[in-house]
Amino acid sequence: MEGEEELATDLLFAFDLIEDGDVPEEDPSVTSAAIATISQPSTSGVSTKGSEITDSGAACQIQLMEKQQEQGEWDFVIKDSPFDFVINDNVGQDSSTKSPLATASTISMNEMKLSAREAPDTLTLAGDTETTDFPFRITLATEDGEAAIAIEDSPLDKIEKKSLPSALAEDDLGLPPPDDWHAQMIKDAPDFDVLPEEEFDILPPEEEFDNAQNADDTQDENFATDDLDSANTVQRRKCYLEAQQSNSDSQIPLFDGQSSEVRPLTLPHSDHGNAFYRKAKGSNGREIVLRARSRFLFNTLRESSSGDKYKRSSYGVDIEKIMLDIEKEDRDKKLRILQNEPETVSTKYDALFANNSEGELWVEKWRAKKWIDLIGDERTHRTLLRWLQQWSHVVFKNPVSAAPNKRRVGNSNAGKLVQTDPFHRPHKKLLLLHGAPGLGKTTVAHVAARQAGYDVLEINASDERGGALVHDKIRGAIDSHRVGTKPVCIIIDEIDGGAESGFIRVLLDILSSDSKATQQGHRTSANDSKNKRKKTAKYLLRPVIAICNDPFVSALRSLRPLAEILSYRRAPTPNIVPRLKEICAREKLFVDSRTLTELVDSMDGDVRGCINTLQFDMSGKRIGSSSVGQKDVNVNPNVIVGRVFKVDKHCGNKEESIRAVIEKVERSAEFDKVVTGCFTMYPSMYYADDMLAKPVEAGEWLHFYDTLSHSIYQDQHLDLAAYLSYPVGAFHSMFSSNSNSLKEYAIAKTDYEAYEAKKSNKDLVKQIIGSASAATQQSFRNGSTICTELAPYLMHIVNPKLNPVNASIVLEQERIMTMHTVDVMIDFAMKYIQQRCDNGTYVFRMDPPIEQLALFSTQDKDRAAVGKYLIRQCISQEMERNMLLRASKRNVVAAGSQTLGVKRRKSDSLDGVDHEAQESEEDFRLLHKAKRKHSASNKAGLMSSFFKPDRTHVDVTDPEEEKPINPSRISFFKSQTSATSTGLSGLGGHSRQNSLQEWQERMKQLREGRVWVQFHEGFSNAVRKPVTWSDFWRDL
Amino acid sequence: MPSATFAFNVCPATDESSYFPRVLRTPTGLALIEIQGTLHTAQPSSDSTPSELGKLTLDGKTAWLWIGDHQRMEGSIVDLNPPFGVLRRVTRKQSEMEEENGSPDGTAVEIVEVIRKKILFTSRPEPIVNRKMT
Repeated sequence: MEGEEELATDLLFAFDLIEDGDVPEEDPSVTSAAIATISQPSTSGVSTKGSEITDSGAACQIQLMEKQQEQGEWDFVIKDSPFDFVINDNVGQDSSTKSPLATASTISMNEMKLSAREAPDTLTLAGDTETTDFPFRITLATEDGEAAIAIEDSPLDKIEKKSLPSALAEDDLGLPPPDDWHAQMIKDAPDFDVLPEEEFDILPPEEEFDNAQNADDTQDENFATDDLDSANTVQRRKCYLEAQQSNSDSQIPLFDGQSSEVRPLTLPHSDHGNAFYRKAKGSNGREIVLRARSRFLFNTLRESSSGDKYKRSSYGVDIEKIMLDIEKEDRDKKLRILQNEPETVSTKYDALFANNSEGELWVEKWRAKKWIDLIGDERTHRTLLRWLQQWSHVVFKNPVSAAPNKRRVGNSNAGKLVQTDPFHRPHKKLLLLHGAPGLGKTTVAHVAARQAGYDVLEINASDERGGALVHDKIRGAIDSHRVGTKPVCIIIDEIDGGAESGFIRVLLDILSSDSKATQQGHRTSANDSKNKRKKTAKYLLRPVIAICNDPFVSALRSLRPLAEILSYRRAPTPNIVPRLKEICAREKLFVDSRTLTELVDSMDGDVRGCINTLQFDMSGKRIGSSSVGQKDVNVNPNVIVGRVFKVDKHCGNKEESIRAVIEKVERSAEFDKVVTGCFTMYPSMYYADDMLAKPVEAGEWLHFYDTLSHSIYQDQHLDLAAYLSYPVGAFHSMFSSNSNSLKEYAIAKTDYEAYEAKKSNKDLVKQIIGSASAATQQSFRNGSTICTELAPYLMHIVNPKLNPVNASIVLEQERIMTMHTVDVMIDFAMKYIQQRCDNGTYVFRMDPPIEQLALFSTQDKDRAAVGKYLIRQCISQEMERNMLLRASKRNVVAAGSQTLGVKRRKSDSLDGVDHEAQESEEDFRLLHKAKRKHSASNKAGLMSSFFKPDRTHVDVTDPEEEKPINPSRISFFKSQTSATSTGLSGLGGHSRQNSLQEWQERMKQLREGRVWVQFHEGFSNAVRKPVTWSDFWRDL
Repeated sequence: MPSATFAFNVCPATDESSYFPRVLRTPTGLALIEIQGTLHTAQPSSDSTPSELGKLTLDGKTAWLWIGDHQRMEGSIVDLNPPFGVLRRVTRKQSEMEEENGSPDGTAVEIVEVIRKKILFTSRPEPIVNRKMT
């Protein structure tokens, strides 16, 4: 048989392992899976025959090869084995007496080559217990010249390939028809003794099984290395495979669904239930007796074998372990369902819930405790976990992994997370997780934190009152390092409830002190590490997760820019339903999937609500859609607006969907906000329209709404309130579409922004008109006329189109324009203020910024605000000069030259202003000349004229002095009215009569309460201003 | 940067009629007073006409300044370091300028005074009730 060419094809078997210590019965479906995984052989050589144990990753290969030239000699090659081998050469009853049959050489750690001089009876290899948890033996045995490998107690379980006498191949087993082999198997699974007697014929020789059984019973006395097995006695795994090779047909696959047959096989010594053998027959006639496998151990093997490969999973999640858990759970569940006795099976999963009392809330009972149990938006889960992982550098002193960062750069959404600080923490130190209630935010935060290796400190912000208390608690948790426990991750639940307790303030304090510390750290730079370390007390070194329902609550406004905001969306219904179903099954509540789907949809994905509803209905043991309760949810108006513009896929027809929207609006009772939101957002929505018909109609509806609300709030027709929601329904019917997606915050802002802008503009208007002359105030009474009629022109007037090159070389026309501008600006109390820009240049800005009123587009505004530097500088200088001039002129005017004032009022034209300026300058000069020329008495007269406006004051304080003053004053005025503007020099002459004494008296009175010091607080240095050398010289 | 010629009169005429004690006064008989605050008068500050502010009394190192009717400040005499120079621009005729090689733009400066001490009032003015000035 071995010489034949057909045998050259290898038989390859991949087996999963069965764990039979705990489980009395094997799951038939698992067994069938085992059959399916028997894989196609890979031809490794023409003249070899052997078996190869593979898994999908080709982790392990065992090849048994017979060299064709020298029959009876075997090469036994183990490639890529997960284990380091120790060789127990010639172990076994038979081989101990003979000379060594085989020599083994370890090629590498995981590869070994064995060659036997002649086909050995038994050659045993054993796994090294030091390096693996799964000691195993590989037994190489021959019987009647046929080679067989038995792998015993290996993680791959014992696989024995044995060639049987060819006579058995033809044996008809009388198996059930191929179609229902699976059913047959399931039916037969629990039983071992149904096999008819004649089938014993096909069994391997008795002693072979005996051996196997003995090995089990007597702790493998036939192997010298008892200790290897003793560790494993509880979970004894055996897989016995018998393959019978037919002469003619070596077609593979050996087994597939249709052509193979499997049935239980009763073995004489297996009645104690410890072993579970099955016999399978392929279409080609080959038969196998095999033990069911356990994927659990196989996976464990895989994990331990290639730890590096699997452990680098980027989220710090032990995926392999999770997978194992899932599978184990899966299997247990199936078993339980199969056996209909869930309580008796004590698995790890059940133990978790075994001692649950009846009174416990299901929500708590079935809360997800492990990463795999989470249902929900997986991307959010991952983002959350990734954010937590970014802390691990500073918390766990893990090396920073550059690889995940690189991958994330491409993703714009997660790109925000990439920025890290000197501690390689996430850019934003606080994570704000928000979403509707009941979706599992808290659960996710807890699980993720635990998954990332933290202990969770949960603080419920709505419970904790008092800022100082909270501060102590948080700071304590962050700063202290507890011995022997894991670091703490703080989860602040319902942070939106903690507004008044100063919770937010505490968080802000912590975050700002951290950012300050970080900045200091930056400044002191990396080389000064000692300095940096000193300041670490201020750093926030533990992750903080805040959870809230609505991130737009005003209390959170200050926190929002500092936090990484993560929106938690509802899990898709198909994800939730199986979980609910499982819970129902466990709680012996029988609900069909459709009802559950309905429940989930009606709850809008609120898992907690679903579970609560289930438990609530548990008493009646029935769940119908009618009994499903809706809970009272406070929905953000913005969410409703978003809903208005979206087509609801769940609602069948339009009418239904409109009704749903209306109902939603009515339930929220925020009509104004929703309608305003609709009104603001509909222009940016996509909708099919013809000739603006829809906006027109929308306008009608809005009018309707306004009328309604007017009569409700003004005239108390409260019964009309019932119709308030219908305009929203109309909006939904007109503007909803599938492609509309609404950013919630976009609506939240616009209204408020408009309000703010309006307020600031109104202030601006008030400022402009307030400083204008009374006449101007008269002509522009209300704000709108100022905006429409004054501001735009003013804008043009104060921004003349000049082309200044040099202050001294100015065209006459331009000079006039400048003067005019200056005049207008002074009248409106406008100024050009020099400011330093970010880029270091200086600009002149208008103050007040009338461009805000006059212009609309922001670009225009920006341009207008800055203007041309040279022009404005020119105007500004001119203005300063003019102001001085005016100030002095005002004195002159006050001194009595009212004619000048009248003249000035009259001259409003350009020339007039200019002329007047010149005139006044002239007056000023003359005045000074006169002053200088005349003696003290002259001065006295002048002074007396100066204080003319204060006459009333003088009168009041010193009425008896009225008389002496009067004549002089009158004469003075006389002189003024008769005098021309240049006749001021004569002024002295008139006042010369007034004696110095009188002037002194007058001064004395005026001084009373007239001279005083306004003290400036602080250092006088604080008011020093830089004076350049040129400034100094210019005025000289 | 503009430049100018400096003239320094080494020995300016002293005015012995000054009220100030010798320590304080400058050669021309003036003294420097520093007030931390703004002095408000009924007249605009741009005007160069003198107006009486108040009374200054000196008592050793401390000084009292009475401003108006209702304020009194306490101050002290302090050294000015560096000293304060008072400059005056001297305008000359063109011909004169060409003779002395003055600066091109015709500016010439003369040091009038060097002030070495000042009376410094840093404290807040104390309110005084209804004090009649003599």
